[in-house]
Amino acid sequence: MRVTLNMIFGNTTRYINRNQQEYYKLEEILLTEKRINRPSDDPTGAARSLELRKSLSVLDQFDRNLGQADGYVTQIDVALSNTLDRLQRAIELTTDINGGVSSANDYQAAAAEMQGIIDEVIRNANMKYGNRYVFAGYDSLNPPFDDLGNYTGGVSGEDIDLEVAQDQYLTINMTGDDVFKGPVDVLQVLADTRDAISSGNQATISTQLPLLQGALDQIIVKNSENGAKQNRIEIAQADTETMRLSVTTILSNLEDADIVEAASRFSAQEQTLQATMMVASRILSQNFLDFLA
Amino acid sequence: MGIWDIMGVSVSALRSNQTAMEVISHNVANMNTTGYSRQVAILTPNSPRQQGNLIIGRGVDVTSIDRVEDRFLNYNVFMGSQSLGYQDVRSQGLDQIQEIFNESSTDTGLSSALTDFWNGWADLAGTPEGVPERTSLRGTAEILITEFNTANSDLRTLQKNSNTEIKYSLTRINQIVTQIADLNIKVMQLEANGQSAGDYRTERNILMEELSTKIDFNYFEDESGMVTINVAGGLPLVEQSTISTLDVEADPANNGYYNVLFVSKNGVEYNITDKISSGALYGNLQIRDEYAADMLDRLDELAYSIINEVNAIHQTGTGLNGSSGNNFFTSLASAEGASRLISIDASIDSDVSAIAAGLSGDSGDNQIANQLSSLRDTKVLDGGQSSFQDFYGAMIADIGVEAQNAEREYNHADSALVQMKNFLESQTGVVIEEEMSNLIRYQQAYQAASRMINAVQQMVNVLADIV
Repeated sequence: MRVTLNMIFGNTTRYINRNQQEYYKLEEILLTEKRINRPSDDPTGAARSLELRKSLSVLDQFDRNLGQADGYVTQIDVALSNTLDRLQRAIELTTDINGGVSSANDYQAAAAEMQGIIDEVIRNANMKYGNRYVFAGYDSLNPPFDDLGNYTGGVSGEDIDLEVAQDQYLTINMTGDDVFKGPVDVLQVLADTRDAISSGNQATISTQLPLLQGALDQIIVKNSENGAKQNRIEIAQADTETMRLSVTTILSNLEDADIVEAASRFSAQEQTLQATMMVASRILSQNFLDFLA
Repeated sequence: MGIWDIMGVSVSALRSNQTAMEVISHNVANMNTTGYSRQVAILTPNSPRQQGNLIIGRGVDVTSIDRVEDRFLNYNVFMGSQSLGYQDVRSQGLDQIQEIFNESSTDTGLSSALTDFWNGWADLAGTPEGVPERTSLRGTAEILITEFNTANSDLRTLQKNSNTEIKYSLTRINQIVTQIADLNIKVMQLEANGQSAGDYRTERNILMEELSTKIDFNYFEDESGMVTINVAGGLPLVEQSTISTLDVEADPANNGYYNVLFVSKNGVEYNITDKISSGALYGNLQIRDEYAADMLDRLDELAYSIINEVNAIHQTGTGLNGSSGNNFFTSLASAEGASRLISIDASIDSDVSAIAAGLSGDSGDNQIANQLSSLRDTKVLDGGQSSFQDFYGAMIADIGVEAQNAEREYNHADSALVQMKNFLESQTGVVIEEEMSNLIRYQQAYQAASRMINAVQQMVNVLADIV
């Protein structure tokens, strides 16, 4: 085969160019620390990395939803705990009165305290999270109870659901009619007790005691339902964290370059390039004309 | 007869070797000329004369200057150039397309904009009363729209560039064709007179090689040395000295992009757009009409489907302002151009409180927002097989595979052409050592012939002295 100078020059530049392309690719991997820098580097990997990034973003969203749910549920917990506290006081007060009193003034004082308890319970039933009334159902910007304890909020079934894990929704609210109005009408029981005390009729006062106990039980049930939600939120938060860790690991395995490997390939490539250039300089400096006198 | 014949023979040697050296100097001068084929001076003894019963030689003459040629290798180089011309444009185009959709190194892009949009609904579900949440949701929708618009306009810019390239390459093809026809005449005239047309042939080869990077063609050379070049499966672009031209025509059925027309010498036009199958022209047609067009279609389908699915749910809800039945995105009649036309419905654009978080319009109702947020994973595309994310992921994977293939095929075509060119160069290229050795050969023959003349001169002087 005849070998022309053009072939030698052409081959030399081509080999150097090919080496430099490889050099450039490795440089890109080392600088970005990523194995996939465009879809063609790994087409299915690129699509998968989009999916994983989406998963991370959705997990962030679940975290935000859980934060929101946590705030809401905690506020309900505060309201129900206060209500329990007040109902216990109501039972104590009624039990004391039931044992007999010295004067009519005592009835009036007890009735006044009972009114205070009622106001307190109504205040808690109108509990807000931010500007939202937590027991109002969907009618969330208006107080669900008036001063007399009449309920004007949303009806049972107006659930506020939040997605706390993939396809899992948590109902964060309880409607006021479920909690305070039925089956035991807590506010009515309190009002009746107040009226019984105010009238000083021992017989009616004593019939109120089991009713008060029923009201207390109803709030206890609701409070433990709410407490269960708090548990669920904590578990979901931990799950989200675990998921995030595993998705991040998968994403990193998929996208991130093996720096040690890339660096050693880089230095190998460097030597190849140097060798190519050295060979080129040797070959290109050979000149037949030097040997002609 | 006689002493002067020796002189004549020597002079023919001087002249012939000088010509041979001239050919060498021409070769050396063209050592780096692309497509140059080395030439060789063919020395032949002159026909002898008879003297008595002796046959005496009468020296030497250069009977021809041959151009080293290998038509088979030439053919291979033309075919290889067509393939490389095509793969070059194709791989660059696909590279540009995949850059348009490249989200590898950033957290921006259509995919993350889409996720942010669904998350915007989830945030609204968390606070259905909120005006800030609605404003921020509208913001995520605007970013999503911008991403669609940008990808759409980038793809269309790419199509327009390919379209312009097509027009430019036709202009150049027409120039090349004219020059080849001119060279056909020159080659024919010279060779008819028995002269060598080597340099014209070289020039014609260079032009044909350039032509082959642009469009696929078949060719043959007739006895007179003229080439006929056929394109699109048999339409003669050059036929001896007559030419046809290529022209463009806007195709209203294809966004006004150009069709390629073959205009025969009689002015008859043929649309050959679909018959071009290699060269840069095919690459540009393919980028414009297949790869970019396909991505645009899929982008439109994605946008259209998002518009419809979001609207269908949003219409069933009621906004904070009590208005119901509103679209979220402006509804479109068809998917055509959806990624360009997608916009937020006027009702929502003017008042974010028209955004429906719930069915009832009560401030705390978040049912619609939950439904819309869960569209994130609902399989609505490809006949209920793919979520929006799946559909977009498949677009990315497909363009990645195409770009990967194109890069491989480009490298393959490049190596193949280099190989063929090396074979050809090995046959026809100038080797400096060879030329220098020949130079010494001819130089020595020249010196020897001079000596002969010198000898004749001395002999003549001796004779003159006698007289």
